[in-house]
Amino acid sequence: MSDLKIDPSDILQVIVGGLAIGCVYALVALGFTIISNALHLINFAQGDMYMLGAVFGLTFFTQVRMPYFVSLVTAALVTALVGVCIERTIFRPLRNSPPLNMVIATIGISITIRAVALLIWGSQAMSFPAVFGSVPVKIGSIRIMPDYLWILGIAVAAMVALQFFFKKTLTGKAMNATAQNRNAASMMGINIFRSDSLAAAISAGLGGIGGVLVGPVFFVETTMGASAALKGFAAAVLGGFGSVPGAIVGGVVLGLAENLSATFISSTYRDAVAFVILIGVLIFRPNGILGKKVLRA
Amino acid sequence: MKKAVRFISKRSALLWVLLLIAAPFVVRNPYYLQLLNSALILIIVAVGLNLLTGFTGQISLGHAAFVGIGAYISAYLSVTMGFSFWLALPLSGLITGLLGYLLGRSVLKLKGAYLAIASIGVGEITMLVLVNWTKFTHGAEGFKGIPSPRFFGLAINSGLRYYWLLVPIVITIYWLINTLVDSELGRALRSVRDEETAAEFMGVDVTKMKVLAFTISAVLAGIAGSLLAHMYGYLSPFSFNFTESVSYLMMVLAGGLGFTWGPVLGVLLLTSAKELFRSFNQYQLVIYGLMLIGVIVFMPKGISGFLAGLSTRVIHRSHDDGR
Amino acid sequence: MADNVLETKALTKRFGGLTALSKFDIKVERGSIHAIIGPNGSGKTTFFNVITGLYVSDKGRVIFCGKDVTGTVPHKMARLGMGRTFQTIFLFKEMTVLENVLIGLQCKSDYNLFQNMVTTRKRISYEKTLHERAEELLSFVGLYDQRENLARNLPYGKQRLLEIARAMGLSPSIILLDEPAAGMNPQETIELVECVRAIRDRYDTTVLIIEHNMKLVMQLADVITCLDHGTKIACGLPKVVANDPKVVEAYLGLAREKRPEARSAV
Repeated sequence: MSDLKIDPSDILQVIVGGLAIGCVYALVALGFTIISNALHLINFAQGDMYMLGAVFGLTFFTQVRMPYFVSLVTAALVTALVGVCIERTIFRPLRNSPPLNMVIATIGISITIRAVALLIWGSQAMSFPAVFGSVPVKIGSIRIMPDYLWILGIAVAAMVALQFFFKKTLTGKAMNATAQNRNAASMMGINIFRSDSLAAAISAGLGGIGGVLVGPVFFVETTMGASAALKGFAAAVLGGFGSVPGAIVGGVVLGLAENLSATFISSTYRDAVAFVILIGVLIFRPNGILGKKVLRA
Repeated sequence: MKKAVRFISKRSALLWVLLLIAAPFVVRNPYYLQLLNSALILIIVAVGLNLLTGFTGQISLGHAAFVGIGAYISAYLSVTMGFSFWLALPLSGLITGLLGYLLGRSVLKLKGAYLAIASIGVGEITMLVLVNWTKFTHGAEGFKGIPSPRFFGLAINSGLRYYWLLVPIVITIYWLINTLVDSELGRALRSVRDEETAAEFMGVDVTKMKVLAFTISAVLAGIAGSLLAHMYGYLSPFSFNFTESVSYLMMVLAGGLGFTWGPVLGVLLLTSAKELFRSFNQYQLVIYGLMLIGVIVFMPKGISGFLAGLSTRVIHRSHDDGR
Repeated sequence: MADNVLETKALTKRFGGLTALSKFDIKVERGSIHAIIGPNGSGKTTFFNVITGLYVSDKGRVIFCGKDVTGTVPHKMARLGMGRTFQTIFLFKEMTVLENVLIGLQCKSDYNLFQNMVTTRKRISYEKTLHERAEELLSFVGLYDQRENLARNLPYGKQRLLEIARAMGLSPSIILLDEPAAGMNPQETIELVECVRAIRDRYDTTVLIIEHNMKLVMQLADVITCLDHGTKIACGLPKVVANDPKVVEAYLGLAREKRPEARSAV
């Protein structure tokens, strides 16, 4: 349904919403990018990390009755742990297999995680109780749900922390080095296996954070990983696959595009926006917005 | 040697044909006969997918879309337009193949995981179309009343009769595709799989090969879809989903990518596994995912690869004293 | 006027800000063994990639057997008679040694779908002819015994020879060898020299060879062209080029680059 009466504060609202959801996509996209740079694989199960974050967050918040922020951190850590387990048990032995095998393996992982989650949490959509109250915050003439502000705040904080980690800490720089040249990094004394596990942990954790953030705004269901994976991947490709700032840019642009088209064009095909962008970029501009040059071969 | 296991040897072909002929006399239970029929149809899909993924190295996770398209086209042609099954079947194959050709030309420029993702997207979009294009497909309520094929007035509406319809089709397809694989065209396809860049420099039009394999696999999927439609008499758009596409890939994988008998072995394995775990309905998906991981980690060459490995070892041992 | 199998005019190729090839002119005479030398990164492999059509040149022309083939795609260049090997081995690993060579031999085929789905007498005799020619090429490089073996099972030196046999399957007018001696031991290198000479003598194929092994180059080459940073800095008879101060400077000028003679041990 398209709104013909366009109010400037409405547009701002849509934009803020788009930015917020875009930040969440960015987190998932970052997960794809980091694990791809480190392990040279595209992790189909990344979307399910997002889902795990959401369901763990929900469980910690409602069943264990932890405060929201604590639930968020714990859920992210648990998800990160899951990521590490996967890396150790499946990615590591398949390191030297043809890439086709890796693709299939991650699909198998995705299916398994989703199936297990289905057994534990069921197939019903679950709602996250309102965390920040339902009173919108007034900034100037616009009203924004506090959830969106929190999403923006925490997501941005996570991204800043990530940049700091990669640029300023020794471990982060070591991870960068490993991603660029494994052999050289190994010869410099960097523990590349630890680097790999860390990359898996971070990317899973980021996805998990995204899931918990989104929980209070939308429903939580065990199938939410599929669309998250598609959108996160589309965002990463849009921004330029392999580029960390690209993942962020891509996520934000995708979130905005999605929200704007859902409001002004049609909300039924909201999910198709990501897919159209993905196919469009892959066919017409595979390097994305900020991407590194990818050789044809 | 690898060669003997990879391509059809007259002996093994004869063996399978004999098994096929004997099967319905051994399998009397109509339920199992129906299972066998679905397995035969799946073999057709698997042969096409094996050609595409096993021999040409291109991954598709959206092949359920082609099966669905073939099924619905056949349903439409026979019900809404009154065509005979015998016309609807080849037409479904051809139209699905044409769609595959058009799609392939743009999508096959992508490589590896990107192609996989694009194919998933195609699968999802196709299912969306099947569900929403109600004028043509009757949407979510499903397409009912698809007639059984008629052979000179005899309605092929029992499991046994359908079996005898399927057997010659499957044998013919198997024969044609394997002759293809054994030919220079097959070599060209395999060179694309093994080393795309080098193949290009050796005179192989790589894109054309990929599109060719893709189109053939789409034709076969379309034919399979048509056979499905007329067997069940009813179609639901939701059955042509991602999980279904994954199961096709899993069958080819478990059987052995790029091996002649891979599709047959894989389909048999998966169908049996599904039956065995039928009682654990809840856990089916978990087992499924774990199987996928298990196969790729422990037996990436599938059963055929495993068997081939055994036989090579045996042969090398016997040839140790000078060849 | 010499008959040039291959000729380029002002060939230029840029990658972003880097100019890999700059106004490169070369004339390769039919029946000659023409070597291309130069320090790493001087554009030698880029040159091969441009003339075979993998990269499209930004400027300049490529003339092959008298025809302007600038911008023709690799698989068509192969059919026109330009064969090549690669710096890294790109054999069809899961195919047998014989099948690897058959691919090249098939290049003129039109790959008709229907003809390939049925076994006809014509096809059987066609396959027989292909097999015979493949076996002949394999005997030529000394790999006939290995013909049923998978390509990936061959030792390194033999894989390199297989690459050559595979390219020869195209019945090429010119064969481009990209560092064929890399990683070979002295014995294998000697066999390679004989092989290259035989390619020229027995099969009438012109040879264009990139090599770092100067001993090999001096033994084989009729003409040497030297590249540095994408530009031709010398071209002529081996003895002349080897002593050209510009060539010596190019090799020694890079502090960490080993001198060409020492590299053959790699």
